Amino acid sequence: MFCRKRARGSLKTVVKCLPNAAKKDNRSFTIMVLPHSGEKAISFPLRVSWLRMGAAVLTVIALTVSALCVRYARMSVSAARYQSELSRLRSENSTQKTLLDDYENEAVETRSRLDRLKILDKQIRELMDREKAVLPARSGESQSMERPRAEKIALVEVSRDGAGVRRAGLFSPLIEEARIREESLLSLQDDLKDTIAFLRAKPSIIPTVGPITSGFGYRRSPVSRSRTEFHEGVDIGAPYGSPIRATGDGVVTLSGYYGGLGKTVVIDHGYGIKSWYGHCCRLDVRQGEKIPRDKVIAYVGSSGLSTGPHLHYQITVNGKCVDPREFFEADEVYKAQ
Amino acid sequence: MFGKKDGPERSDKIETIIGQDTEFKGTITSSGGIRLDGRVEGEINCKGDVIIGETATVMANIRGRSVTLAGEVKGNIDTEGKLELATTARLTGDIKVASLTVEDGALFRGASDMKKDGKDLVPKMSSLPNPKP
Repeated sequence: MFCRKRARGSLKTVVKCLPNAAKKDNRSFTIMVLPHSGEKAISFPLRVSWLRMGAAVLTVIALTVSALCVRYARMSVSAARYQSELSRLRSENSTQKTLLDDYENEAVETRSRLDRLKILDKQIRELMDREKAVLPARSGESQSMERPRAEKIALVEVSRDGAGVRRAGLFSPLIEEARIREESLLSLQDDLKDTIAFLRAKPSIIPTVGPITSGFGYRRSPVSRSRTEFHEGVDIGAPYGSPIRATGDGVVTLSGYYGGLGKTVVIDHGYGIKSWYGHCCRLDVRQGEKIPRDKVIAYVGSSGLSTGPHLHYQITVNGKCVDPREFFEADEVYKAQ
Repeated sequence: MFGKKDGPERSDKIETIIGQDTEFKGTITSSGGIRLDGRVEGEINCKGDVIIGETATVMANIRGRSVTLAGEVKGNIDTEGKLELATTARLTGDIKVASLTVEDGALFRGASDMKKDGKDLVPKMSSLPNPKP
């Protein structure tokens, strides 16, 4: 600031001097140097105009020098600022570097966790498949649905593990992986809903409390005694009037007499599964009614071709008879015995 | 360098110059310093210092507080202080000085006498000890 003020002052002087210098000034003088020893004297004859010119030149030089000084001072100030900024940036850089390392570690951690998620995903799918595998027809269908998807994910993983892809970005493969996982989990959620619906619908409890008096398969006919016949379900011995419960969610397709089975309820559980309840004394549901599992639908009786009060429980999958015991949950089987 | 010189009211300033291309005849009387570079004939009476440059030719008797001589002088020199003869000095004449410096190469032809505090020191030749044979 001080320097600038001074510089302006000198400029004024120059401006004042210049018109005088422009006029021809012939005054002159001599500067002599007289040594006090006997050496030669030196004299400098000078003109005032020269002096003025010299003064102007000196002023210009002084101005330039002062301007340079100001510039230098500013530069040194800014240099100091840059220096401090540089050191600040350096420290920032180092902290960022450590941060980046942390991120990399986290990315690696995330990757391993995602891998574990992938395994878990696979395991859940396997579990679900195993649950559905009870149904031969159904499992075939589900396998064709599930397997390709799992394969697809695995294929994507393989290509993503390539070193070239990894260099492209730290997190983008992870994000991609997470996206795939999300899609997979969403589909898994849908599958799970299906599975839950299926498990709700699937006959899986013992319809009435009592021992299995006659199993599935060939047996001697209880009516004629002399012949063997194919028993299409199981007989559960229970006192007259014991409540019969629906073994799974479904819709009543028949509630009435059905030949030798007498008073019979048939529930369609979907997935091609139907359950039959025969020889009832009383029916509590109507055709077309939606039934949840565990709802009492009828009572044990001895209607139709029967030798005493019992429940004939039969399951058909796509019209074919299967052993209902395969459908009982482990605890239910235990309870039955 | 800037220490006080001996002698009171000493004027170190040179007030009068006889330039190289100048010839002067007459008597110069001055209480300030004089520098001579040209030709001078006559007499110089000065209370200050007298400096005689290389190019000077002086035919005069010179009195001064001190004299520095680098040129040519024909005449007697009398100083209160010292007389310095530079290498280029050519002096023909008698001197009476308080102190004398002669540089190598200076020319001096004449009698020399010393004085102290303005008084002549005239040693009596008879008082000098006889040189033993």
